[in-house]
Amino acid sequence: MTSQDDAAPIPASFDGARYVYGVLASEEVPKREARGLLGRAVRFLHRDGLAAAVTDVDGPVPGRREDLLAHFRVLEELAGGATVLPLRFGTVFDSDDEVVLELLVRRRALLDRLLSELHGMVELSVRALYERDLVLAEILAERRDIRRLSERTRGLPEEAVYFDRIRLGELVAEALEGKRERDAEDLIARLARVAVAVERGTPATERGVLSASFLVSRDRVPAFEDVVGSLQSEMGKRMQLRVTGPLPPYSFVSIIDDPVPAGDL
Amino acid sequence: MGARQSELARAPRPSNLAEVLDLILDKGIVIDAYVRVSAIGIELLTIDARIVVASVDTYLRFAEAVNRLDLEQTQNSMTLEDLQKGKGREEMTESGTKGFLEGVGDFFKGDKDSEEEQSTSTDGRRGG
Repeated sequence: MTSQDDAAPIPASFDGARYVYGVLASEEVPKREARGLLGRAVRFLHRDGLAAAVTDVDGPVPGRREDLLAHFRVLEELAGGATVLPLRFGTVFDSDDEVVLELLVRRRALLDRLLSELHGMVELSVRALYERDLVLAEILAERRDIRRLSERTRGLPEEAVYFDRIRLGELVAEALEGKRERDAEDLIARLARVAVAVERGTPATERGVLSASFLVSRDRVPAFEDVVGSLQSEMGKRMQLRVTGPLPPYSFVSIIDDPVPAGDL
Repeated sequence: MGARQSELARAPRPSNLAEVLDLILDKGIVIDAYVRVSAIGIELLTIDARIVVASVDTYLRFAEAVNRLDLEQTQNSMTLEDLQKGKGREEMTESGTKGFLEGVGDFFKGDKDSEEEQSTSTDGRRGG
């Protein structure tokens, strides 16, 4: 979050909309004032023990780089001292009353349940990447059929061995996929022992082995990091592991939105 | 403990925007009726930087890489063990994915980090 120096001025009688970052328990709301989107203050709206973190905005929010980062950083800072349920980027209500009614009242059961389940938990994101040449060399060493096909196709004019080379690449891709699966499962199994839950994503590149989010109890974060360190040592140069976090539990707050009908309030 | 610490690549906060996007655009609580992002943002939200799809192009690249590696090993009598010790390996920070940045234009210009993983799976979200 930006410090007080860059605060954008808020009109005297503001009648705009309310951007919501997330929800936390009222008693965990920080004392320190914070700045968020557009450099404006982060306020808290309370109802029966729940608090929504909001900022006054003029309407639908742009998705500029600084807006996205502001959203992320506000939540990151809140998560330092509280269990915070992050909302997806871009949630805007028309007024304080609407935030309270639509979020804190009508969806109270969901929010209470999530806060209770996630109390004292943080998210740690783990990504693993292969060192490509080392892994390809492993495949060459392990697979005689691939070695032979490679020998047969290298050094010859491309047109002559075009289809053989496609076949070679296909075999390598399959072998790589097999390695990826085995390594990923191994990593997850080891890390899951110090975690409460895991959400597996899809690695985004050819070199990706694993992209997963782990729900970890705050006091187990050092133990989790120890396991990552051990895994990195075991993997040596063939793989690079990265941990990000602690983060608010983005991956563990998916809900089936089922608000109390307004008429029932 | 000191040795282990230096091995572990610890990034306390996501060091590239793509990772942040993955968290705040694809995850978190969704109250659909109230998700409102203006036109400037929608262009961002419809970016779909997908994982590499297996294709002939991919296979040919693998073949080329394996041919080169195979040739290197044969010529230099390198063994797998040699490679593991660091001989002849490409740098970890070699960027094979910078092409992604060009696709999303100015948006990422601020990100100077050379990240191995640039893609994220933000599929087209319908902003309210």
